[in-house]
Amino acid sequence: MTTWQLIVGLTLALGGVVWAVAKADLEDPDLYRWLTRKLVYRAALRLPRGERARWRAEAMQNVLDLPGRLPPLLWALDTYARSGSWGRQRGAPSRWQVLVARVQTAWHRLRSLPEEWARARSKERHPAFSTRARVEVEAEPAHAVAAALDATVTVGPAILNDGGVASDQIRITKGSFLSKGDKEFLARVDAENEVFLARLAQQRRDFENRIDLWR
Amino acid sequence: MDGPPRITMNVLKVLRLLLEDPTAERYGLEVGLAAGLRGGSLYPVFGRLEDAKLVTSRWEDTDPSEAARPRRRLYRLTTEGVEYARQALAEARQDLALRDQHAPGWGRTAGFPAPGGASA
Repeated sequence: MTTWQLIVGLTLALGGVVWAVAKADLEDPDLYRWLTRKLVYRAALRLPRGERARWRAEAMQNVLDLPGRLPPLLWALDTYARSGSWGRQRGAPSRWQVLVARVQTAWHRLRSLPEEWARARSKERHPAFSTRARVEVEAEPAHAVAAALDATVTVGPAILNDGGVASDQIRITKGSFLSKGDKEFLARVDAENEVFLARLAQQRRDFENRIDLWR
Repeated sequence: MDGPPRITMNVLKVLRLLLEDPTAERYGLEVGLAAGLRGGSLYPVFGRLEDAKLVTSRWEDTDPSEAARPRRRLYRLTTEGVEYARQALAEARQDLALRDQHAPGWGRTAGFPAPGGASA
């Protein structure tokens, strides 16, 4: 068997398969229905947004009312073929205008990319956008609130410098306003607070040191 | 009113069909088949006539499951539309008569009535 015979044979076999599939598809009424519906849908897309649903529903109703397989398809095909001028008549932009607008948008976006990249880079460098720095910055108000609370309750030496004293003072001062259960609860919270506030203080010191470096 | 629509042969065909019985409501496919127009020509005509308030339309008040078909969009000429259609058709007939007189065979379109009243 020569090469060209092999090529012809393979082409015929492939053609037979394609033909069989196409024939089966063309006999399938679902294909026509799908195609018809698709054409009507696409035609309506060329109309202004507010009118699409109404005309799509009407065209679909007409198509479904037509008997047979080809008449509905031809009706839908005609609707689709003339939908461009129909859409323009209803005030929708032409395909050309849509294309020009899309190209312009893409061009502006392309031109602004270096700027966006520069902005993104500056964000990365800024302490407020660094993940580590953000955690520390967010800890700042918590620290401030805790310190303010303690200051109002204890009216004494700086809590962060001497945890033990502050803890006692808080317990004694708050005790006059709270029940026994609350006092026990507050005692536990105070103990935990000491560790937490010490850690916050350390973070603040680290943060301030780093700020100095950035300057 | 947006002003009268541009008079085209398709507009005249639709107006003529609706004018046959101005009180009756007819749906798009019926008009299209009778006028020899398909969707792409028919819907823009209805749109223009509706914009000019010469035609009103509404969805049919039937239950699609009971009727075993989707609801139809029904069209009817308004009072202004009837007047306008009569006038436009009369002008078109005069135009055709004039053309027949000076250039026989020209300007005759299938589906549009001849000046004498019989369909060409």
